[in-house]
Amino acid sequence: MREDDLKSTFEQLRAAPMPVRGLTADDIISSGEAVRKRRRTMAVVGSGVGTTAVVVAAVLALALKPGAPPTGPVDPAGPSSTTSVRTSVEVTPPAAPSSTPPVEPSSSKQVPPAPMTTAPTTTTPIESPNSTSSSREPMVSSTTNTGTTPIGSESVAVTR
Amino acid sequence: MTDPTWNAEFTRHFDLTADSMRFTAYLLCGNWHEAEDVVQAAFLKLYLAGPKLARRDGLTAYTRKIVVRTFIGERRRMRWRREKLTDSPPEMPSGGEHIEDRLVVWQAMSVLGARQRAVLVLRFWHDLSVEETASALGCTTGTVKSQSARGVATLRQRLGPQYADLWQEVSRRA
Repeated sequence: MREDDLKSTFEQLRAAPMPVRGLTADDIISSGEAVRKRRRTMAVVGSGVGTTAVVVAAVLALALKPGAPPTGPVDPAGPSSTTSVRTSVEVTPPAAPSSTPPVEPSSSKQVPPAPMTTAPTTTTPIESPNSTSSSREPMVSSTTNTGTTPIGSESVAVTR
Repeated sequence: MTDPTWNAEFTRHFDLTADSMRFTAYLLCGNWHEAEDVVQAAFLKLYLAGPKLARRDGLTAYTRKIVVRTFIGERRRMRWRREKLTDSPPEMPSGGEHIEDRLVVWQAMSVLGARQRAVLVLRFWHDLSVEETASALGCTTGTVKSQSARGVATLRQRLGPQYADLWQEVSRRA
């Protein structure tokens, strides 16, 4: 078989009647317009969806970023007992009293009261310098006996 | 977005070249149904690409290139389809004087690959040079030469001596 034989076969095929053409230019143009419209719609929808996806992805990336504060609703402030902060400052104990008390002015020196267990004082008659011997009235000085000493047990009544 | 100038030019170009492109597609595909689909897809691509063309003086060659590449693309996608191709043509050609030799050659060409078929059609029907065929197919000139030689060799092997006898008879009747 030669190339010329193949060419002759093609020519014979071309000489045969062709089937009726079922395609017109208007059909192609209408199909092309539909394709353009569909591509335009897809481009608009695709760009919108893409933009939305980028925004959502950026928001999610910022929300899920480690260390970011939670984005949930904020609770109202409650009592401080649950939110009190415990300080770690150590409280030093008060200093021990010094062996030598501070010196105070002598004018305002106060003598601590004597303990109650001291011996009761005795009453002694006090003679008045203006009294005579006949009409001498002894002045009795009594002391209140506080403590465990019974009253009158040791007091001495002075009689004439 | 409708360009009335381009629509008129496309209509005129379609009326002039539609039959030629249909026959080219028929040689490539082997049946008229697939040829119609290829031609429709090719002209649709041409219509969509028309407003973007800088020069429109070579529309015929450009359309032929689209037809050939659309045919090769369709054959490539056929591998993934569920349709099964058969050796016999899907339709019988209408009655003619030399139906026998056309059938024999047609059946022999059906075993060729898409690129070999396209090379043979472009080289021996459209009388394109090796460079023009390579430009239309998007390959090198060496590929065109090798595909052409292998295609003719396959036809010779397929037809064998019986085709020579048939061809002599056809030539004598012609």
